[in-house]
Amino acid sequence: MEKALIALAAALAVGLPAIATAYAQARIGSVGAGTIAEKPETGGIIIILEALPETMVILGFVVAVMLILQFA
Amino acid sequence: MFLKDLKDLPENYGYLNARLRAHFSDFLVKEDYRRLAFRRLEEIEIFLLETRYGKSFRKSLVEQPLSTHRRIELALADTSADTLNHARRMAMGEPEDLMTVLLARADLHNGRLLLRYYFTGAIYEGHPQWHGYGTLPVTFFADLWKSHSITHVMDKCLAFDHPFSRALGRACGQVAKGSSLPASERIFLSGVLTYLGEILDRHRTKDSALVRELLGRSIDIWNMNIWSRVAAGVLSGEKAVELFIEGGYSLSTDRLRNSSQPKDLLASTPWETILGRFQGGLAEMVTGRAMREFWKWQIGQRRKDPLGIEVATAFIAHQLLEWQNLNALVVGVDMGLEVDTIIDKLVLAG
Repeated sequence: MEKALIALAAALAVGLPAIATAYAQARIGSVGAGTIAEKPETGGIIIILEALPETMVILGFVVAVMLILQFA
Repeated sequence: MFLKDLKDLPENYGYLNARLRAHFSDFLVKEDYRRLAFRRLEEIEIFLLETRYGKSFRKSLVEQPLSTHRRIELALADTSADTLNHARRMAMGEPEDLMTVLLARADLHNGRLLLRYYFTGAIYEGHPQWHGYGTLPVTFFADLWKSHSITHVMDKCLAFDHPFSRALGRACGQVAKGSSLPASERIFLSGVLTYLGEILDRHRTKDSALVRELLGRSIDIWNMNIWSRVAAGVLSGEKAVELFIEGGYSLSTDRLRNSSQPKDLLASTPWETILGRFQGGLAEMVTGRAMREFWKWQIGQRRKDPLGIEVATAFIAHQLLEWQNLNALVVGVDMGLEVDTIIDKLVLAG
C-alpha cells in the first residue's frame, strides 16, 4: 500500500507539471507561430520561450525520482 | 464537451493577434499626417508608393489612366480591403465569427450607398468606391448598381440567399413604396443587426460581449444621429420614435425621447466625455464627436487583452481610420486647404 502511494505521488509529481507545461506551450506555440510568420528573425527567441515551460516537467521529474529513491 | 472546449481555446486568438500586432507598426502616426499635409499631391503619391499601398498604386498606374487623386483613392481602398480580408482569413473558430461581425460594416456601407443612390434617383455613370472587405461580394453590389430600377434591385437582393441581401431587399422595397431614406436604412440596419446578433449568440464569452458592446455603441450613434435631427428641428419627435433602434449600449429610447439638450442625453453615459467639448448647445454636432470617440474607443482596445478580440478590433479600426484620414488629407491638399484645417479634419488616435 505504501509503495502504491509513493508511486502515485511520483506520478502526480510528473503528471501535473506536464499538463501545465502542455497548456503553457500550446499558448506560447500558437503566438510564436504567428510571430515567426510575420517576423522570421524572431525564431531563436520563440524557440527559447517555447522551451521554458519544459523546466516545470524536469523539476517534477527530479522530485519524482527523489521520492522513489528516498522512500521506495 | 472536452473537444468543444479545446476547439474554443484561445490559441486562435494568440496566433491571430501575434500576426496582427506585427503590423501595427505599419500604420501612419500623427507626425506622418502632419508631414504629408505640407506636401503636394504628387509628393503624397511618391510617399505612398514607398509604403504598403505601393503595390496597389503601381497596379493602378499601369492599368488605368487616372488622375493622381483617383489613383490614391483606389490604392487606399484596394490595400485596405486586402489587409482586412487577409486578417479575416487568419482567424478560425470564434475569432473568425467575431471578425465577420466586425467587418460587416462594409456591407452596411455598401448597402446604404446603394439605397441613397436609388432614393435620390441620381444618374451616375461611374462606380462608387465599394468597401471590399464585407460578407457580400463587391460584384454583388456592382451588379445592383447597374440595375434598371429599385424594384429590379429588390428582386435581385431577395433572390440572393443571404440575410444581409434579404434585409437590403426589404429596405429597397420601402424606398420603392416612397418611404423616407432613414426609414429604409433603418430596415436594412435592423436586418443586418439581427443576423449579427445570431452570430454572437453562438459564443457566450467576454470576447463576444465586447463585440456586442461595439454593435451597441454603433446603434447609439445611429440613435444620436436621429436625435440630433430632432434637436436641429429637421425631424419631428413622432417620426424620430419610429426611427430609433432598440438595443443601444447606453442610450435608451426613453432617454432619447425625453432629452432636448446634449447634456440631458449624454450625462452619466460612456459618451459623457464628448460633452466637455461643447460650447453651448450644438446638438447637431453630437454625432460627429461621438464618432470620433467611437474610433478612439476601438483603437484604445489594442492593449486591453493580448489573447482576446480586442487586438483585432483595434487593428480593424486602425486600418479603416487610416483609410479615412488619408482620403480626407488628399482631398484637403487637392483643395489647397491650410495645414491646420486639414489636420483638424483628421481623427488622430493611437
